[in-house]
Amino acid sequence: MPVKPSKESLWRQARFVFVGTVQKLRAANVAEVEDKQRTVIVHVDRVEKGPESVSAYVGRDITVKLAPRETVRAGDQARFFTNGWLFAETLAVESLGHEAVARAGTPRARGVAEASLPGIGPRAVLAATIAASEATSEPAARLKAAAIAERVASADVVIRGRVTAVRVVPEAEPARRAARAAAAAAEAPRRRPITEHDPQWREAEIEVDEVEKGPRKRRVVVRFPGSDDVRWYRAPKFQPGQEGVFILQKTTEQPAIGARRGRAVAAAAKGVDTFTALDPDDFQPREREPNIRALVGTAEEPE
Amino acid sequence: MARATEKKRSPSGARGRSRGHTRAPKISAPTTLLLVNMIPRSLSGETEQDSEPSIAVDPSNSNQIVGSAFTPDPMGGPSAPIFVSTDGGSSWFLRSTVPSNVQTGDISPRFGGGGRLYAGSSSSPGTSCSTSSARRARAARPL
Repeated sequence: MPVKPSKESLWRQARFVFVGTVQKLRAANVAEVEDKQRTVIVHVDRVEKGPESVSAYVGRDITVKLAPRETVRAGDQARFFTNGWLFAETLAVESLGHEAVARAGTPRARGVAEASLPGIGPRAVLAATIAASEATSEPAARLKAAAIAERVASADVVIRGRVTAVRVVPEAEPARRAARAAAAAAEAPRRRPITEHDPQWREAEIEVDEVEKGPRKRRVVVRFPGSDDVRWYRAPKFQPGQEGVFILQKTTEQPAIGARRGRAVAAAAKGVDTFTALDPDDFQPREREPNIRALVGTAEEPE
Repeated sequence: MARATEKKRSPSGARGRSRGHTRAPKISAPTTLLLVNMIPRSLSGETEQDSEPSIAVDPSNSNQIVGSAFTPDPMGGPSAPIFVSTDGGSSWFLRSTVPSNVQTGDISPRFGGGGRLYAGSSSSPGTSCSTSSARRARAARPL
């Protein structure tokens, strides 16, 4: 029997959470939707989480494709946990699930408005403030906070530290030869593919001041793309002297086929684990350390 | 939507060529070019780069066209979007449906038989290529 996802889980998975009133069953206001058996038209009353662009849908009708076995009635007001589906003349979203909310204006509704918001308890409120200075709306700040929380949860290491050096990764010749020999033994050598999206890998050496998550280390090496190519421009670019919180993933897949042979061996030879920071949220300013620490605590608590 | 018109040119002839030479195939220049902004109205005002576009027309139904670009999922989700038209390119909608571990990467759509759409996409961190699973081009239908 499938387990019903918790509110917390729905909140995490959904990128667009809104309170809306069901207008019409088996209907859609997006022309491209052919099968209307599981779609309903919902009036968006307020947005609780989502990118800036969806704020424009407050007060408008959108199409919601219900999840399997999800049912609603016309007139129901509910909190819908959704993700984007079709972006056309207007918006159609896919529901992950919903929960009933009391109609606006009733005493119960006023009482539960923010308090019952899943993921918006004290810890999450704290987390939501992380991005408050970057996002211009509260729903967008919540989306941003959820994205950071996701990065923290999946990170192998979270540290506060300072960049002491940045270098183009040297193609260490002895290590390269050793790696080539190992590769030749395992499989035929592969050529590095030519790509206009070459990440131009750099390595930043980080002196660790505080470990928030992961094993204790005095320094770590973070690999990041130096390229401003369309594929990489969002990734953090580190500079010597830069201080802050680094949310890092251990490298499992080596970044560049041609480069990995030498680098992996070189890093291993020095006894230094190598990590990557590819997401824009993987670096946070130092003043956000308390927020990140709270997120680490949240991520490590069982559901 | 903008419309650009071009005068029909005379097809280039092969007059004066000696016997035995292969004649160049006659190609008629288009008389009308229709320029369509593929960004759907619901995303009007978006400021992404949308670079490196690619396009595929279903050979069995030219009304079905799929385009791709370096356009991220508008909601920041894990799937990469494609642009879809079912009316020969007059109107477009965006659907995030291509499995992707980082936003979008060089998606190359091609139609196969029976209205199936195939898409190749570079995976993270950008050097190795893989072919994603086939998807039906009727994008408004459940996959």
